[in-house]
Amino acid sequence: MNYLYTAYAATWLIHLTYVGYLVRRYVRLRKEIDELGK
Amino acid sequence: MKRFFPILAILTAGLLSFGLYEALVVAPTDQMQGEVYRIIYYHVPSAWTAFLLFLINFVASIVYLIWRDMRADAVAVVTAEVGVVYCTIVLVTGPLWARPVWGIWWTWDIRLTSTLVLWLIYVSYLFLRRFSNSGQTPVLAAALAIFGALDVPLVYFSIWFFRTQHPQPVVGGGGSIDPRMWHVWLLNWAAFLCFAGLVCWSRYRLEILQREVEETQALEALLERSPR
Repeated sequence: MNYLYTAYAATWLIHLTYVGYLVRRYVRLRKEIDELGK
Repeated sequence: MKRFFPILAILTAGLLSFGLYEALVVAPTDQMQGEVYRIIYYHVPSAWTAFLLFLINFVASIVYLIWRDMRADAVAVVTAEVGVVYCTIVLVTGPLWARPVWGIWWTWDIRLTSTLVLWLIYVSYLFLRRFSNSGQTPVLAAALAIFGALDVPLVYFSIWFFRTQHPQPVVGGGGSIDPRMWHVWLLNWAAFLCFAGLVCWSRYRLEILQREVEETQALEALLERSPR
């Protein structure tokens, strides 16, 4: 059962890590856009 | 799409949660493997999602090479990146399934090795996109993507043509599966496809925005350097 739960947890962790990476990139890009607008 | 995004995101979250519940609670236990077989509901849909994304990447790369369409290039980058995410899930969940069933984490047989090679090809594609600023980068990346896509049929058909540790395909390979397992498998694949679709759309918007910012910054730098 441990292998099953680890596999499921790893899948969700990879999904969430990627979504977090996208959010971080978006925030950085918004900052760049704001700086360009100044 | 932008207007419907929150609704689609909620529906996808609901589908993923329902898929998780069906996979862990509703799907029957396998007689041979017991509970651990339930990894199939994440492992196989992830593999099929990755294959589909690499196929889209292949088509977008060809379209870019023929018409030099920057939107096709953006689609290629996005699908390669999200495809690598799903291929990573395959490479992580596979050994976690293999250990209790085969007694080993990994073996260098054709299915596993070709999957690892596929992942390495697309990771190198992403490194190329990330660290090369040459004007020829999209062309080189498109060529690499076309070669990379050739590995997808090798991964898929390897278990048909070679002796391998990996089991024969249950789907499309003449095997049989309990209809309730089939239903849960399809449900989770649909959920993964919805999630991948939403992530691809967000990443595509980000890529287009990023390119616009880079163009503006380059233009600004040119204007600053030009003599007044």
